[in-house]
Amino acid sequence: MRHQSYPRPDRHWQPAKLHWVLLGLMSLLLCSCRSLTPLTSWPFTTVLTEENVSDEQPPAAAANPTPPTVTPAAPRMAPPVTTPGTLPGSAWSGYPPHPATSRPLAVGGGGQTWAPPGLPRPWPRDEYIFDGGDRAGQVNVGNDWSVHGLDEEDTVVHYETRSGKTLVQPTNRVPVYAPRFVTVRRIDGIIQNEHTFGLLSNRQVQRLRRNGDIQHQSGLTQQLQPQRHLALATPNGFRDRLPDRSVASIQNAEGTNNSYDLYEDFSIIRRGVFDNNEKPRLNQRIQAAKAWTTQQGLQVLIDDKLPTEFSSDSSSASHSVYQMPEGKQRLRVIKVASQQQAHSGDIIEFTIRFDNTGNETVGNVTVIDNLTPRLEYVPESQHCNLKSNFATQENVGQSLVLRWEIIAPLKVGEGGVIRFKCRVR
Amino acid sequence: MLGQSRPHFQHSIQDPPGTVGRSQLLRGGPLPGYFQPVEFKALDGMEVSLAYDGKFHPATPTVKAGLLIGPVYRLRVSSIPRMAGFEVYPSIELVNRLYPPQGLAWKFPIPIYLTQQDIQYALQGRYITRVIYLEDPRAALPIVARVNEQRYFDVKPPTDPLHTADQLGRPMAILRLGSRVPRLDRTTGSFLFHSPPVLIPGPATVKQAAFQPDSATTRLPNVPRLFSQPMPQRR
Repeated sequence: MRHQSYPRPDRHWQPAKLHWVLLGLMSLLLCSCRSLTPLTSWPFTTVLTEENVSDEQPPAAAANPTPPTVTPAAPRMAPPVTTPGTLPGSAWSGYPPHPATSRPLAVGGGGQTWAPPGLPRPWPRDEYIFDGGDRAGQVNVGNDWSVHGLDEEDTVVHYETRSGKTLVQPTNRVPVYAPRFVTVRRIDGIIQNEHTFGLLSNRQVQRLRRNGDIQHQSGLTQQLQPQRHLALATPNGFRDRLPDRSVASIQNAEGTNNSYDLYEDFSIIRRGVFDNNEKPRLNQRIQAAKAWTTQQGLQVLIDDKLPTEFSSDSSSASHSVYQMPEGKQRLRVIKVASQQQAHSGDIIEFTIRFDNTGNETVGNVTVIDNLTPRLEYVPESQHCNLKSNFATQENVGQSLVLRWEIIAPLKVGEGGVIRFKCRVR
Repeated sequence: MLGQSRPHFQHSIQDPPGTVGRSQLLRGGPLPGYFQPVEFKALDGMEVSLAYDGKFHPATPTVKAGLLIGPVYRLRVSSIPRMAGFEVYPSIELVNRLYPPQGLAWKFPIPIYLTQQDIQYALQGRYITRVIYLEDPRAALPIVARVNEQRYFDVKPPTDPLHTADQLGRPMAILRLGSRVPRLDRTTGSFLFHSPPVLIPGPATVKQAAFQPDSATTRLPNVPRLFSQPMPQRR
């Protein structure tokens, strides 16, 4: 008998099976990396309150600097601790997991305001109303005192020196947080309901009559086409409704004639002298970190010469001191707002302080503020402590350009204050 | 140039609810896990309730809650004038968030207005889509916004309101309400979109958001001015 040797199937089959299992595991692992969030039940409590979700970690977790990790197979959380002290600190099991992020949940209104690195604050721009400064840096004054390159939101002061030169000095930029929302609506006539349209059939019995011929077929079912067609009609009308320009507001009857409100009670506003002790409060009113940076603020060209920066700071309430040769002229302009945030209809009061910080008297000082479309000047609300001529002119944004022409010249060390109110649209 | 004038949009308003918001999450940034405060206002005597934790909660004229970006939330509008017994179930989807200064998130929520006109349209069998977008202040219309009224304008099909809102500002939320008969499938929870988590503001936050500081005034002496130096007159 001839002996035949057959290969043992288990020696060749086991490595192949192992390869298939490994390939399957790797495919499963790769496919689960960036998939969309499955619409399954949320693995944690769906009702959060500020008592059980806060930015501050409990004492047990505060000792551990590593953020709480989230695993999809984590057990459900215990009921949130609503009364401090009822559970020990070790009972805190971390923030509720979020299946899309695997990061601790952030609470609206808490934490540090996020901004992309490298971009100046405040950010984003579309949530703020800006007023002041020279946005494009192109404001210039012609020989006939006409101002060119004045964009919306710009506030500049131009003045004339003894030598007949006309110089332009922009103010700092004041941001006010006032987001406004609009809605785009579309109405469709589609009836989104479940309907079942069956084919309309007709059953008609017809007897075939023949002489002496009996037909066993007694009935006939005939299919008919649908007799009605449903068309979807879409609305063809366009309706645009815009509210009128009236507004109802309540204003407190209080005047500020020849006095200073709380928001503008700074030494640099009152006397034109900067006080380091007022930095924090001045920071709240100016807030624009870039107001005093090297791009705006006191960065001016005087007689086509860049002044030498004596000291500067990039913080929001910092200031810069420039040294100029003798016989030069300078004008410092500061602008502050009474509120840092506002809703539509709120009244914001702006204060502009300008000082002659040079060593030469300047004259024909003119302050120009081109309001943004979201700001509406309140009539008869402007006040200037110097004798001046005030005029308004409508700009391209259907707002106003405010213009103060100071009549008397400004001596060295002198200055003035301008106040006006605007309503947020 | 003609090709550049019409950009290609990745999404449209015809996408299923939740598609736009969840795609925003994949782009990264501080969107995932952030509870954006939203204020629902049911006007004209109506009431609104938000569905969370698997059920609708008591209806009130105004509901303020923090919602996640990406999931879809279900609302219920009731107490419709002259339509006793009728209810409409809109859905809301957040696609972006605000970045307010610290402590002002609940003072500046995203307003969602539910008007009686939209509800009537929905009860008549129409499908209404509202895209709430943040207006660009430099391109804003110079009109004053009224209280309890959100400015809107209509677009005609097949114009996509999401594309229109993206061209005019930053889309923040999508509100859909129509004539679909709700199927209260409590087994799967699909009608409530599986009850995504919400953040209910605490009493201290509500009180802080409603706080209006008084305008204090301090009286200070006037700035002295003396002018004696003549200056050249204006040309």
